[in-house]
Amino acid sequence: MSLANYIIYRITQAFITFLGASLLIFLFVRLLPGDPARLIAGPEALEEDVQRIRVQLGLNKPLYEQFAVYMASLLRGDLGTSIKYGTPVLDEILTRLPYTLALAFTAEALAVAIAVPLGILAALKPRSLVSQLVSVLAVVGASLPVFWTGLMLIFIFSVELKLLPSSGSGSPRHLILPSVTLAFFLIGNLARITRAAVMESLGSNHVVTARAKGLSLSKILMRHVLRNSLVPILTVASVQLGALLGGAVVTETVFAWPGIGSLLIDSLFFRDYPLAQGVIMFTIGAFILINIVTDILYALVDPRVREILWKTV
Amino acid sequence: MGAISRFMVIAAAILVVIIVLGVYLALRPGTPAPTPVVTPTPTETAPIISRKDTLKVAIGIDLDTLDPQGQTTTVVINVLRHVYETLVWYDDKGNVIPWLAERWEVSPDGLTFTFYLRKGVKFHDGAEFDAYAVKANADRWADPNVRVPLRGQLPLKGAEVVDKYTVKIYFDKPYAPALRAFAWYLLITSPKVIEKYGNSTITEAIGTGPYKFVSWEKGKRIVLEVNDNYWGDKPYIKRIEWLIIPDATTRVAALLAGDVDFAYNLPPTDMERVRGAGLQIVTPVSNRIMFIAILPKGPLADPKVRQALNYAIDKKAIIDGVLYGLGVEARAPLPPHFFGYVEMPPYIYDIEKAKRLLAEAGYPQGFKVTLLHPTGRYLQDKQVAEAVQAYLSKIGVQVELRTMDWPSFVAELRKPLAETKHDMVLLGWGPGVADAHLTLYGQFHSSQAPPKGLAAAHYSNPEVDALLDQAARELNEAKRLELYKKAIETIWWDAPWIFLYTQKWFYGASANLKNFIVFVDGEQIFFHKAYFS
Repeated sequence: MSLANYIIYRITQAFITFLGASLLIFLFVRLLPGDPARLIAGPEALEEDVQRIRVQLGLNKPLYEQFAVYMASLLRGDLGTSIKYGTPVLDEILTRLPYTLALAFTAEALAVAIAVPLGILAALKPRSLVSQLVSVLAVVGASLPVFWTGLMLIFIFSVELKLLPSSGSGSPRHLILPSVTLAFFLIGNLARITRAAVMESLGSNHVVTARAKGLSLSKILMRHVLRNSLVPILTVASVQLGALLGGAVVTETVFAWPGIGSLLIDSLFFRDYPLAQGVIMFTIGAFILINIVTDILYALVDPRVREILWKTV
Repeated sequence: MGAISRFMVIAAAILVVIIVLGVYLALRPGTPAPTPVVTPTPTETAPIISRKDTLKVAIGIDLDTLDPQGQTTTVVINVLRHVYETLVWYDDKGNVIPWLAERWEVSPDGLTFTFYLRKGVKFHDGAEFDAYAVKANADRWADPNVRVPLRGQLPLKGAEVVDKYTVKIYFDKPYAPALRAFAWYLLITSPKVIEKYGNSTITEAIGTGPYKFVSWEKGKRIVLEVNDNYWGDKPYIKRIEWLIIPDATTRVAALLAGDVDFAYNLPPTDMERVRGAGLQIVTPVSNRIMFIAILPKGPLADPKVRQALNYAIDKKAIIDGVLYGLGVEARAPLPPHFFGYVEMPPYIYDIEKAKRLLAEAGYPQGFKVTLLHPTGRYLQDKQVAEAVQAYLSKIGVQVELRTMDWPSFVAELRKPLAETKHDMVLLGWGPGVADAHLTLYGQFHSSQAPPKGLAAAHYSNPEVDALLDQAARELNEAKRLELYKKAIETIWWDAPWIFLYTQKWFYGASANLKNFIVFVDGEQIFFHKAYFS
């Protein structure tokens, strides 16, 4: 199978996943107790006004009819209209998307830039201080709640030192604290994986041979070790990135960062079915896309993967 | 040193740093001189005005719509009231005063309001404010094809232009709170805007107010700029940025860091920190009465039992201990600044009396009940429910708490009496207009019991129904007050609620922000006269 065919195969597969997911999401979102019309109007509104809103939104129709309308417009590429804002769901997502992209990629890049060198150093000197630091970071970073880290950073760098804005968006300075908060959460895991992968390749026969040949350490690292360690690092980084693209809900809330995550939370609290569905579908789409890209990258960095993948499908 | 122990040493070191830092930040003493609670009053002496003319305000929720007829939420209305204006308004005592209308007349049958409009007022898009504009807005409010969630609070029928500056607005039946409701709900936009959008949601904000709408970046901020052609006094502040900061602790941080000059709805737990930093603390009384609705089920159907529950709870202690003082003890089933308010003798905290009443009613050993309550909706709602649970256990009433998020809670509340799984509900009721009708009718008229309305106590008393119906139609204010007095007395001793408190807001402002106006009913803050010293 050629690369082009492989990509087509993966996209078809993704499309089917996507349709199945849309049915599940449609049902799950409506399983939550609550009535969007009442939530819009507030408790003090009269029932007759609320009922009129229900009719205007089509919420009084049977579920299968609502689903048919939803699927028909979805197949036309229309995600529907937000109940709360009265604007197209796609517009709402696209307004928030740049913020999510900026935060996700900055945080992940920061995490990779710190974690990979740290992991390599730790692998080269397994009993050193660096190696211990990696272990501790992995535990601390993953177990400290993100909102706590975030608030601490705000109180230190904004309230006390007055170096950075406490929250909001609009300049690169605003991006620093939220991405550091997220990166702190990601670094430990990524560094641990890097260390393990590099240690494994360091012990493998071809590296031992290369050493015996008298190759310099830097050459061995670049040519033989890192290339072989890339697959697990790529896997972890892409899963992390996929999760971040779905919105870093807590970080976004703490830093008032107007991304996809806060949009999702907002839409669920308002039982804004079309908007919630749209955001979740988008998140799933982003995850699928990243998986496809990662698989292609695997194939590019590893000839064995290339062969196995393309032959079996 | 072994690998494990070194790991432990590093981990311990990091932990110690974190804890020391946390303790330092938590216990750090603030600026020594605490500022007293400030209620800003307009200063008559010539103010020293700073050149700073951009104001940044932190709010917790985003706007939902710019549509003047689609408004439901206090904070959103507060933002947009800087852009839109209404025919009448309130003075600082709560009396209705002329605004876009210079004067008005009400027909003897109460069905026709004639407004004589201010001349020379222009909308931000250049259109003239006149009777045609008012008619377009009133008709749109009444149009059933337009999404107007709070139409029931101002049930007008339509409008008619008499001449360019005179307009008549009609009702089907007399509606006593009408004038106050005009002041609150009928935001006036340009007739050009209404022509452009028709029935569909209006997505721009064109008003006559002191500020022009500039932009709304969703989830991020709303920007207003001064309207140089404003018909009234020109504001000092040229630009207001309303920043959407969902997390209350972050709003405190933004205020402490000086990133914002004013912040809405701060956590009561942070009051000392805000005060310690020398900032202004603003705690106006809201329109929201908090209560525990008692459903007429089992032992609770007996008024003696319901009175016992009222005597068993120390409201003052809850206000001081759980709410950090952010409440006013309820002495009637509505907030104290409402039209129609009558102060009743308190149910003084008295466990022995409560036990005696329970025994008289035939429940000396108490009984079990379920209390439904939301979490994260009202100030300290979960903690208040827990406090009530503890107090009632002292008289043998075992309370099981059912905690729900707001949407699920409302869905549960809408169930008819026979399907309810709870016996009591913690609820707040906060209509926009400070008029007894909107609280009492919504919560005690039998027609409003779920599933038709959200009158959580399922209260049904023909006498109270008749009084409330009559009061809603009565145009003579003295007679109307008399009717509410009777209704409130009956409700108070019938005790379909555990009457708790009226909630206060907690806002913070930077020390140099002066002369912002806390609206008379405590619900809103206005910045069109504010300045920095």
